Amino acid sequence: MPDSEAPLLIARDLVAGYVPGVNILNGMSVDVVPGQVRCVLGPNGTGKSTLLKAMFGFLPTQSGTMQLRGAPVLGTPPHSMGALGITYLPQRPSVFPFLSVEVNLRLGTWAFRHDRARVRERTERALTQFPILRERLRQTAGTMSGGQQRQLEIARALMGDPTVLLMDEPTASIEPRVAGQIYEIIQGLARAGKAVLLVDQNIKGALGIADHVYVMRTGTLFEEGPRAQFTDEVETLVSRWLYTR
Amino acid sequence: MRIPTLIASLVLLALALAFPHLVNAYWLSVSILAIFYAIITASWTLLVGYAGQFSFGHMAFVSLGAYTSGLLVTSFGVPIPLGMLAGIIVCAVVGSGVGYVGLRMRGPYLALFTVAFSEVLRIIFVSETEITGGSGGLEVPPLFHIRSDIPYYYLGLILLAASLGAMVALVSSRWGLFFRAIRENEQAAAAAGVRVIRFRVLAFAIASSFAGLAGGFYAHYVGILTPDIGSVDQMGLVVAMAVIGGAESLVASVIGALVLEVAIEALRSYGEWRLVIFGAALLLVIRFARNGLLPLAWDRLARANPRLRRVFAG
Repeated sequence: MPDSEAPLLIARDLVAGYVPGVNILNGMSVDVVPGQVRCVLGPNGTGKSTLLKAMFGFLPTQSGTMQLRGAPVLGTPPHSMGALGITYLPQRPSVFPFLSVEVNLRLGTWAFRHDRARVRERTERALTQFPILRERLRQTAGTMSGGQQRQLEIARALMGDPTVLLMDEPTASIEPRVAGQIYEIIQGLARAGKAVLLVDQNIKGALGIADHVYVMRTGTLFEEGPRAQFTDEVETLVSRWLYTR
Repeated sequence: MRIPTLIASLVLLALALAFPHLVNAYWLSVSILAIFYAIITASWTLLVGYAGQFSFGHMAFVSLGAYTSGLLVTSFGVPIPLGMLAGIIVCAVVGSGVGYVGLRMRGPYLALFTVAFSEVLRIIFVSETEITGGSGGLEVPPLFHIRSDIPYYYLGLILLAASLGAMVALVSSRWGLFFRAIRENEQAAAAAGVRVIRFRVLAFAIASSFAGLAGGFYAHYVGILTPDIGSVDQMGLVVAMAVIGGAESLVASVIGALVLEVAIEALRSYGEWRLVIFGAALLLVIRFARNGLLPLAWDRLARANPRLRRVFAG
């Protein structure tokens, strides 16, 4: 995938933190590009998940800008992000565990719930894309395996047909075989034109599908570049995280 | 509605309507109090079981509704129905405030915050003796100026049916789905487009207004109000009723409240030991039937007889 597509979402110099006076993000910038998986890597505690929370509006920013197709969107509350075409998959399991698979999917269609034909079409599309969900439609979501729950989360996030997906460690705590399937799904979404920003601890897995890589250190951009710049360099990358001051 | 369900509903309705004529005055009074607790327990279930907002301050709203109506009627001559309505509105407004202030709190922290709110309110009612009568109580005029409790029973039954119907309609609606989504995962709910702050505050406001309704009814039934109605002991009783019945089902919690209130009176001869019995029952239910006894019983019965499953489903 070429690395020169026009970005859809541009975040610049984001500064944010959970406690006054202690910033986790110290001027982080990223571009999210249609048709690409852009991946944010970095050591634990460097602010990768905080970056997504700040971008999606869960965490107020102290400074910085974010533009979607040129329009400022920083500070938009999370419940309004879906209407802008931005969706977010949290790091922690985010299915509604005591609700059925069907109801979980339905919760992804509230923005256009009155358009029944569209709801039916989206539901059918999700069930075709994730056949396991059709088999488990009446099952309580919390009783499915971790990988199946992740598929449900992704399916629910796609119900509103978003253009930008912010994904926080989608393969965390999932067995390697299933993680591979999840990475394939994410790559397929990018091939279908979605703009994906992926935060991940699984360097090999993420590098396997990334078109562009951002490496974070202490809340700022340490280095960035196309995937080719980082492939076969996993050990070097990790040692640089550990030893570069 | 399926025919067996319809028959069962009609039999229950006939029994409920005939009940005051089948029991003596004492048990009629117990049944009116059981209805009062049933409204409170259902609204606490709405707040905790459906919306996931763990509150130990629900009885404070009962006392707020009761004192608002009582004071408006006794001090300002407001008609009783308007006083009760004012109690509901005050509880909705104060409930919104408590819900808003508690937005950043979860689980045990929210529970402790609501206990503190409840105690502050109770102490105000105790201390402001010139207005509330303090621990000596506030005399409140009755709703009906006749010697029989029968009108109170039917009014209570109507209020319970209306409250339960409204709550069932609410949890079956879009709002109910939002409440459950927030209960299960606030972040994911927000990402799905749910206005989390609005619906958390709404859950407190709605549940508190039902508590206020129960409080107003209680005030004008018993005729004297003391701050003890909002005590932590009373809250514990409501929690026990909901948990033993089933805190994730409105109907189960209502049945839990009705059965427990009657059982408490039936075991009165055991004195304080009955509380030990109920405490032990509560522990056993939490350990072995976390969703309460009624859902467990329904599930067992339905497994034993598939035809019953259809009745419950209908």
